[in-house]
Amino acid sequence: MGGGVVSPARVKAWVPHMVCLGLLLGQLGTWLALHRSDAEIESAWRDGATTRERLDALHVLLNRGTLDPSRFGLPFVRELLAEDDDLLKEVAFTNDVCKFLDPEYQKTEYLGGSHLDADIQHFWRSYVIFRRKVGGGVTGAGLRLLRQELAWFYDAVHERPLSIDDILLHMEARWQEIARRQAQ
Amino acid sequence: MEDYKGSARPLVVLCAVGVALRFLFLCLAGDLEFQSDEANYVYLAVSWNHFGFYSDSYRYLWPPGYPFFLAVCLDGFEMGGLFVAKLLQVLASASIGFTTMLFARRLYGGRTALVAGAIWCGYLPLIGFTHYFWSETLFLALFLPALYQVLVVLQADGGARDGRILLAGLLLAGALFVKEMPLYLAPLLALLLAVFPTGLARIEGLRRASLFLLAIAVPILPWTLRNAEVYGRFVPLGASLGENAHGGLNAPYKNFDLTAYGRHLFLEESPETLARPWFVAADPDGEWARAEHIRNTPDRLAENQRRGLAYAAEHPGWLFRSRIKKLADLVAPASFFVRHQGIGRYEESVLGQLSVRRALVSLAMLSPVILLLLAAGGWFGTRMDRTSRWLLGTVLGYVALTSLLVSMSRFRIPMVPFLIVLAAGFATRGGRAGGRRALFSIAAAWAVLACLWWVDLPETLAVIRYAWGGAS
Repeated sequence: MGGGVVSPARVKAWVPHMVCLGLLLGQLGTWLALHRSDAEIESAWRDGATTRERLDALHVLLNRGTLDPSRFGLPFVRELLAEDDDLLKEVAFTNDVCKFLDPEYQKTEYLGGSHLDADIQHFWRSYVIFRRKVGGGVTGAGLRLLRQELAWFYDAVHERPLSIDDILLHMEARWQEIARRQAQ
Repeated sequence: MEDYKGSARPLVVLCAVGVALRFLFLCLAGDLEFQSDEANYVYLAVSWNHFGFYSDSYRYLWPPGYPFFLAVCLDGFEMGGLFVAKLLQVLASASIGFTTMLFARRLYGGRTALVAGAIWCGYLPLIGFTHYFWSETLFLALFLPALYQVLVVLQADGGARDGRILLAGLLLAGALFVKEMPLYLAPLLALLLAVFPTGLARIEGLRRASLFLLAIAVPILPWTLRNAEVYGRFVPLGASLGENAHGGLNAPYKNFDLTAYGRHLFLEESPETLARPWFVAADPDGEWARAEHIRNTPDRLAENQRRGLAYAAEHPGWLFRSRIKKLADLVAPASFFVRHQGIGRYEESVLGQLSVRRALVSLAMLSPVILLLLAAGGWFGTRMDRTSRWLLGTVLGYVALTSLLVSMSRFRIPMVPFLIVLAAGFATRGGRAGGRRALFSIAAAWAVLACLWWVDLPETLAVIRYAWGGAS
């Protein structure tokens, strides 16, 4: 052991550690380099080139918890629902948005309105995203997702035809299920 | 340590039989309706595909592994992706079966490995999870090989290769992406790596332990940083303790093996209400609500966790009584397979036909009872090397401790492969070690199990009634 000279074999034994530490530092460095401030996120949400970019920024904006929550009240929800892009409208039904305010507007004014007739596919996607989401009644969720609902969701995503009558019947049956459970 | 270098062919054959049996159950079960968290996992996967970002579940911050797995299957095959996901789970179960046998061979030898393999093949509660959308199968398929690699390193006299340590860390990191449950097990395993084999130079022990932890840290750091970017908080992978504290460190008694009966059969009283009052009675005014006003999910979950711990500290008597109940729930002969039968999930399939259902329910309920009895015998009445005992004891103790928070048989699943190994050890080598002291310990363990089964007897009888009779 003496002499303070470290043998090459002993140094070699720590090479995997050095590689791992290097990878960890690389990841940290990448994160620091790519980290976006609140202002940058805000700007990406407003001026993002694509819907995906805007959605990605919005997801962070709504979750980071550094902004005043009152910003994401009813005017914000209305603003989202007035977007041209269906995907941006539909994000108004997610936990990200619904956790800021009792989502009564989404439930009664939007999903209870005329959108079913106007665009059944968009209606069904919004309904599933809103009523079948994970998180419970606080954010507007109703009952859990069923296979049939998922199958219709995929039809809606691919803009395949959906039967309004079938959907109305199905929704009525699920409302009755909720009522039955509440009466338990 | 036993001679573990026999032919692998019998193990591969048994593994193939087990996988074939699981495939048969998958086909017979048909298109099962989503149950409880299954719908949540599928929703998360679908919304990930739809919006392009991974949303939290409001009450949980689940790790992304399982929703990602489902998202990939659904993205590729739409509704057909549901079957593809289950098929991949059936195939992944080969890892569980094979590793269980490898553990048994290392601890007790080739004959025990075959018995362990046979038990794994027919263990219905495990079979069930291969055709459910719960993460247990994928998790075990990564978790068990990780632990096996740790065992090999612990037992290696002539210096373990770093490759094994790295592999163990990477596999455990993979398991953590599916379920964050073993997060705090990692430092305990590192401690074992630092200590065993005895006689190891201290610096070499530290070198191994730190390499193991680094191998875990490298794959999980990106998602931790993603959480920091999105939520502004450093959360390694996921956080489910807050919601589990709401369920388990709170006045109302909840048991997720039982709640579904009340909900699906529209019962006036859920089987949970049958629980013996002494074990579950709590101050009804003491029930605490979730911190819904906190918008940041990790902060909200942390506050729920704090409220749960505060409630537990304020009610030490209740904590003691209710943990006995949790322990009883952990060893109860319940399973999700029995629950699926009881609430009629299999009604449309061959598995739900009266005679088949009764035979399967009997088998599914007897399996954990026999397994636990034999495993207790294996722990106290068989000879195994010290490192294996330390590893198994650490894993079983850790999983049991985490399961004391929320009641349900699903939390027992990570213990099952080890219970199978111990049970097979007792079946093949019981009575060869320990003498009268071992016999006394086995008798004491069986008495404790019998007491715990007595604690859960009222609910168990109700479950038998529903599962035996079916939902109708």
